[in-house]
Amino acid sequence: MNVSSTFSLIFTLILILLITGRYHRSVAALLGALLTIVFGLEYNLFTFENLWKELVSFIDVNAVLLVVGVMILAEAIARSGFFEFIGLSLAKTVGGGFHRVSIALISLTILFSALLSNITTMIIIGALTVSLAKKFEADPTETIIYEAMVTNIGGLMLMISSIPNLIVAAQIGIEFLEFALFSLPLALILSIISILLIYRRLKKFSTMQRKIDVDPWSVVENKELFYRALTIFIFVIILLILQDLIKIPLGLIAFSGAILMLILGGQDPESIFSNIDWGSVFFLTSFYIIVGGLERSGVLNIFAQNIIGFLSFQPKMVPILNIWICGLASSVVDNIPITLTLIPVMKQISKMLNISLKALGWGIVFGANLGGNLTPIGSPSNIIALGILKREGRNITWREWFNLCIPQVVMQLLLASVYVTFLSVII
Amino acid sequence: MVSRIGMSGGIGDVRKRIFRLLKNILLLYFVLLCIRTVQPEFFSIINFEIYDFKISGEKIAAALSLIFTIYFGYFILIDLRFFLDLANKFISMKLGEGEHGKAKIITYDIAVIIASILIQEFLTPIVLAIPYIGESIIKVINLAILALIFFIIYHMANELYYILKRPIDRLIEETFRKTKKNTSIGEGV
Repeated sequence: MNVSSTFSLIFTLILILLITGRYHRSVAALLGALLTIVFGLEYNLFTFENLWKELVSFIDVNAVLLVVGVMILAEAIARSGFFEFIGLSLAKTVGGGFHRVSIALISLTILFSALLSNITTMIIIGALTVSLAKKFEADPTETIIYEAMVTNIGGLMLMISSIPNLIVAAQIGIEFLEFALFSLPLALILSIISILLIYRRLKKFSTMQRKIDVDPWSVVENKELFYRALTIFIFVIILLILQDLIKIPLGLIAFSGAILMLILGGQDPESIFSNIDWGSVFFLTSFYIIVGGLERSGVLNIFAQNIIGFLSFQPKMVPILNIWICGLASSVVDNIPITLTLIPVMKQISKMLNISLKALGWGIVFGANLGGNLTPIGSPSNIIALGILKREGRNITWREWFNLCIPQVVMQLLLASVYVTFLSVII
Repeated sequence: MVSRIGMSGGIGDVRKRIFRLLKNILLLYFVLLCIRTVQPEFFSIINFEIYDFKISGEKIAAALSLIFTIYFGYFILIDLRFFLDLANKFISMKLGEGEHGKAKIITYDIAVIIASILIQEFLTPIVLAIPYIGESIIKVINLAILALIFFIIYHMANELYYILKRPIDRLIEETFRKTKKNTSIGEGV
């Protein structure tokens, strides 16, 4: 068997393990990284002398630091009670029936998922929704499913909103403001359309009107820590926005901000660390090694050549095709490996077909984020939403999920396709 | 399915079947060897014609070999199927059948096949480097991996059969119903 066949088999094996969920995704990726090293040494792709140097060269340290930094910052701000405070304040202000509160919570989910990871957002908003639904004696099922769905729209908003965004930005060289400038319009359009459609549907189940008599400040344990965490978070966001001027790498800004938060935030670092999703960090790092192996063994080159052969007649369609390929793949596999694998392929396609790399990158960002809504297992927030509903005694079948989400997701992917066509003209 | 072929007999049944399988293989081997040995001496004298039909000793030997192969082969296949099903049950147990859907089990099977190929690919140069016995060891490893892949493919085919069984049955039933309906209309005319 030749090098490329062996590395293709390794990649297929890891994809199967990720799709079936037989092992934790980070364990599957670590196994893939180990196989890449072992076979890389066997086929002389690496040497024992330079092994570590070569492996580190595969990993995008900037992206990894950015991910870890943003995770620490988001965890600290979530622990201060900020998001529950905002949620309760908004629900109290909106008033009316549960459908109105649901719309407020769904809008808030979009905003929170722009700043937090989808998992954290879904845990906070899901718990809030269940407790408010009990007050209104309403069924929270559809609201929670829609919340899970819109986390992926919120994940489009900013560069720090999701890991695929961070990877694409770090590897293609998109700055914070530039990212917001191009992604925010689409995210806002999708948010408005989705909220309108959801409102029309939820209005049918409108419940009796109740007054929420909970003080929002009751969820904030320590006001001083609350303000401190908020100040540091805003400071880091400002630095990220000014990154174009100050020319400090994004990873360094986020990581410095995280250290600042750990020192000045006044929260117990041990408990912050214990809640960080280290599995994702291991997963990301290991997958960089797998993709490095694929690149070195020539598999990605073969893949790119085949795609180029297929698409050379219609190069303008590549960004759109990117959205749909990424979207469909993200509905069954984690969107991080899809993003990491496609970026080097897109770099080659961009050179050979003379298409803007950024337009291709946007295709990956939109597809990887929105595709997660296609199936109940497409995104971690979906799984958490189903878990919350199961605890409430509601088992959601795949058919129910498809009935609620597929029309909206297809609409979102179609709009994203139109938008990326527009972007490829102006970039 | 497994209990239908009598696997419930436990270890005694397995032992009995191993002996029977070996006995039948050896008997078949012995009979074929006998036919081949006596063929040049005994069957060469047989050579007669009935009209255009020529019967030679060679043809008789081939026919006898075929008859014995079918006879013993039938019993060999029965026991072989028993062991394939046993391996199949073992694989299903290891892959946790029941907890997962059949499609998922098939993907696990593919993963095991890929993992086996990768293990073989990894071990070959290492074991070949062992002086004198390296080549023999790698032959044994290759055979073991080949057997494992064979069992997994059998398991996969089994699962695929159960996935496709219901739609195929429905299709046959539907076709049969339609055909019957058309025939009865024809009869009426």
